[in-house]
This record gives sequence, structure tokens and C-alpha cells, in this order.
Amino acid sequence: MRTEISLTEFESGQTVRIVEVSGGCKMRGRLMMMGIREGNQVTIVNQPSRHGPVVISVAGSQFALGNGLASRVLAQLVNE
Amino acid sequence: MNILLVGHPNVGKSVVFSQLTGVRVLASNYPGSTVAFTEGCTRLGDLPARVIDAPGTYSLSSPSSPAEEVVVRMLEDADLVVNVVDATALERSLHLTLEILDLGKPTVVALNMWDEAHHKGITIDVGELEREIGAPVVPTVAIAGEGLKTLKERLQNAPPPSATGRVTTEAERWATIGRITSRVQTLEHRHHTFLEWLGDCSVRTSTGLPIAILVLAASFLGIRLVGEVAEGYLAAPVFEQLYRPVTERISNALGQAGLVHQVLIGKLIHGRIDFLQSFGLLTTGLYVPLAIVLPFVLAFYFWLGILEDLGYLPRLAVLLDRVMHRVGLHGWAVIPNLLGLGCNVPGILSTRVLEDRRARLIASTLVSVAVPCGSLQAMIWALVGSPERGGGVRYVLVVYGTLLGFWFLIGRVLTMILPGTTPDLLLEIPPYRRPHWPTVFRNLGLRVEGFLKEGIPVVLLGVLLVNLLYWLGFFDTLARIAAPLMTQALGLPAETFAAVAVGFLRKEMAMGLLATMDLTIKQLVVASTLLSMFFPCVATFVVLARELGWRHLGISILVMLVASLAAGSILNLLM
Repeated sequence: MRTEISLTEFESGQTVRIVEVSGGCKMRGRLMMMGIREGNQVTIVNQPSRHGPVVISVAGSQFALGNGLASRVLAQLVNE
Repeated sequence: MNILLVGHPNVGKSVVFSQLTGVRVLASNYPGSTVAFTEGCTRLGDLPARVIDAPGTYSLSSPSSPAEEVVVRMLEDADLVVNVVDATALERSLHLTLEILDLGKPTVVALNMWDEAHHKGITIDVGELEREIGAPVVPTVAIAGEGLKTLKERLQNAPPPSATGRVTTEAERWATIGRITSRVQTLEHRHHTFLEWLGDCSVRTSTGLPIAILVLAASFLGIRLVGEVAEGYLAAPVFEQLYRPVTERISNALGQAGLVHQVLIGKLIHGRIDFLQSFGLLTTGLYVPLAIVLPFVLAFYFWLGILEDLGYLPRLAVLLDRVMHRVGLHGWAVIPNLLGLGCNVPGILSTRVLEDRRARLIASTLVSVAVPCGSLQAMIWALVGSPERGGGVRYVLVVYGTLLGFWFLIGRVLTMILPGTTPDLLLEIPPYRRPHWPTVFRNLGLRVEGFLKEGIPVVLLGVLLVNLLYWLGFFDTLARIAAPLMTQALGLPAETFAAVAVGFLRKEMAMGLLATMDLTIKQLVVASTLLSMFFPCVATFVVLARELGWRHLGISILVMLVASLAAGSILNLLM
């Protein structure tokens, strides 16, 4: 059993599987549109040192998620 | 017949549009470069058709910005829909595709950037995709014009979509999308290319910041260099050697005095025409916009065009996100500010990509008050940067520094006063692409054309008006009224208010007036700063009023007045 933590707590270069996206349904909808939804695998391209946006890569596209958004996305580490 | 182009941001809709209609539109490598819609005409077989390029949208059911809301309304009037899809991101694009097909309108899907998908090792079975979604699919490489002919042919007899199992919930829809994608798409793993590596480097905290500083420093120097070369080796010789004899002949023919001479040529300074100070239609009216401002505008837009096409701007937005949060905005608000450095009008229009009214008010106010447009910057350099007037780069930096300081201050204050919170950044970062020179030069051409078409008539009209108002003694009255404020608080001669007032028409016009006034370098610095911050030009003002509405416009103007007087007084005290 692995622990789920928010996207802001992983390190650059790690690949994670999204477990839960919380937040309003409009924001969830927008995130889903970008491939950020339960079950999808994303790679952390850059984890900023303090409160900056997390840059992730999902299905070949890159997105920047502001810190508040990223903290509402829970994920778990995937074994490479 | 109305054909509407719909798709995610930054999938190349504007390029497809240009190819279909022959209309040149700005296209760039970042989401949201189309904030309003553009129309053009094409022919489908024998029938004329109207083509509309819509702003990019991720979804029809939950539009998140005014630009996206426009699309939902426009779809109602469309007869035919072209859904432009990024072939490298098929899965997430299909959600919008299915939403469009649910509307039941005849739709053709253009699988754009087909070549890039190939390079990334993505293969899509087009025939299978057509069967799955029940609509024609055409692979295209819009930038090279590939597939556009087929697209038009398929559009001619596009059937309404065959209903392929309507879905009721979001979960079902995503499940359908997953099934379709796995059936039609195969992925092959490719190694990182150099551009991908560079792309990652420029968003990483450790390497991104040095790269950003390097890019910005290079931009500053590059624009200066190109601008100086264009001005010194092209514009100045043309005016001095070719154009001066012409104007002198006209001046002599008119007897060097009289009303017509005053309007066409202006005052003679020490018996000679002075292109900067004479203030006639044929002298200052043409010299300032063409010889001083144009070289700068050209250099600025050329450089911006390269950064845009490369795809650097979204990365800059990521790096500056934290700073932008301090002024109540997220990183993507660097776009209005950067565009504003060329001209405030497109800068303010581009605030439409921001999600809420609070952010749009803050961004528009910052742009109109503290972001100097190309005309202003050229003027600042010419006035306080020229050694002839006792100036230098040092003084230019004082003006820029003051503007930057107030940009930050105004942002901080508005963030604290205005209710609401700062939305989070959610931005797609496009891959770096090698600049596509035809696109870069087309964008440059469009922007310079815009400057010439909108700028020069206003400057000429303004010169005419200023001559008339001088003749009527209007500026003397104005100067008397403003005298206490100008002399006491700002340390400027009362006549400078005339220049500030004229700046409302078009900023570069104030320059000719300020140049005649024999000001000290300190006064020039104060006047330039005041002119930059105090009231935008009329074109900006109109756009500001339209975008903000009256109440927010009021707030914006109040900020403008307070900040510009504060900045002027502080500089007057400290310098």
C-alpha cells in the first residue's frame, strides 16, 4: 500500500499516477481536459523550491499548475 | 454559409484560417493569441463561404474565460465546423471533438501538426478514427499548406455526424475517449531531442532563471542595436540627405512664413528646418513616427516575434509566476505586459485570456499606467538618452526603474484593496519549435502595418490640431490653469502641460513639444515619466473603457492620476 501525497511533494523527474483530483467541478473539468485525471500517469518536469508552479508532462504535453492547484491533486509514485 | 474553426488553444487554427482564406492573421506558438474572432472568405466548390477563426477553447460545457465564452455563442450560428486537433495530443483533444459532434452540425476534423506527431513517434489510423467518431478526419500540416485541399473537399459534402452512442456522464465520455485512443493510436518511444532538452532546462528553477536573464538581457541589447542601426544608418540619412532638400524647397517656395508654412513646415529653428522641433505636418509629423519610433517598433516586434514563435513566452510565465502573484496576477499575465511594451492596445486586449474580472482590472491598469509602449520608449531614449541634451543610459534607466517600481507598487496596492483572490496558473507549455521565418515576418509585417496605418494619421491630425490650438492660445490658458501643480510639485515649466495634454492623442507627439522647451535633464526625466504614466493615448483609453466597463475604468483612472503625480513629485524631490 502506497501513500498518496499531493503533486507539490514529489521531486523533479519522478513519475506518478494520479489518484484523486479535488476542487470545484469547473476546475476539475479543466484539469481533466488537460489529461490530469484519475488513473493517468504524469512525470514531474520541475518541482519548484518554494510555491512556484509545478511543471508536469502528461501524454506528451507539458502543463504548468499553480501551487494551489497542484496541491489539490493527489498522486502516488510509480515504480519505474 | 458559415464555417467555424474550433479547437484547443495553440493547435494552429489561425494558420489553417490563413491557408483557407488568404487573410493574414497573427499566429504564435502560445495559447491564446487569438482573443477575438477573425473573419475571411473562401470558396467551397462554387459556393462562397465565410470562415471564422475562433479563440481556442478546451471545452464547450465549462468555458473559463471571456474568450472561451465567445466560442460557445459562435457555434450556434455555424453551418459547418472544422475542429482543428493537435495530432500530438489526440486523447485530450477528443473531449472537445465529441462535444462538438454532439451538436449535430456537419463537422470535419483536421488532424493538424501531423508531421510533428510523426516525429514524436505517434501513428494515428485515420480511417479507424473516422469510423469511431462518425465524422471525416483529414491529416494536415497547416503551416506548409499540406492537407488543406483535401480538407476543403471533405467540407463540401460533410454529412452531419452519425450519432455514435451518445454518452450522458463525463466519466462515460472519458471512457469512450480512452477506448477510441487505444484503438486508433500507436506510440513508439523516441529519445529526447535537443529542443525538448532545452525546453525542460528553461522551466527548471536552477537553469531556467539564468536562461531567462540571458534572454531578457539579449532582448534589451538586441532591440537597442537593431533600433539604433535602423535609425542611424537608414532613417536618419534618408531624412537628412534625401528628404531635407525637398522640405527646404517647399519652405522657400512658401516664403518661409505664413499660415500654410506654419502648418506644413512649422517654425524654423535658427533659420533651419528642425525635424524634431519645427512641428509641421511634413517635418515633425512624418519624422517622429517614421524616423524615431518606427525603427524601435520594428526592432521590438522582430524580437518578440522570434520569442513567440520559438515558444519561449509560456516558459517565462512559469518562471515569473511567483513574482506575478505578488501583484495579484498569475504568470500568464506577463503576456499583456510584454505585448504592452509594443503597443498598449493589444496588451490590454490580451488580458481576455485571464480568468476573472479582478485580474483583468489589475493587468489592464498596470499596462496602461506603468508599461511604456513602443512610441513612448523611443521617445524616452531620444529625450533623456541623448548626450546632446545632457542625458545618457543612466537617465533612461531612472525612468524605466521608476516605471517598474510603480508597476509593482500599484499591483501590490490593488491586490490588497480589491476583494477576491488570485487565480492559480494553469497553462499549457508548447514544445519549442524552430522559428518558422515566413510566420515571423508575416507577424512583423502585420504589426508594423498596424502601427503605420493607425499611428501616422493620428500624428498628422494631431500636428494640425496642435498648430490650431496654439494659434487660438489654448495652450497658454491650459498652462495657466496647470501652472501651480506643474511648477510646485513637479518642478516643470507650466508649458510642459501642453506636451502632456498632446500626448493624449499620441504619445510620440509630445516629444517634439518637449524638445523645443529647453528643459534640464532632470526636468526631461520627470516629464518623460509623467507622460508615460499620466493618461494613456486615446486609442488605449477607448479600449480600456470597452474592456473594463465604466466602474473599473474609474478605478483605473484614479490609480493613474495618483500614481503619475506621485512618481513625478518623488523624482523631482530626489533627483
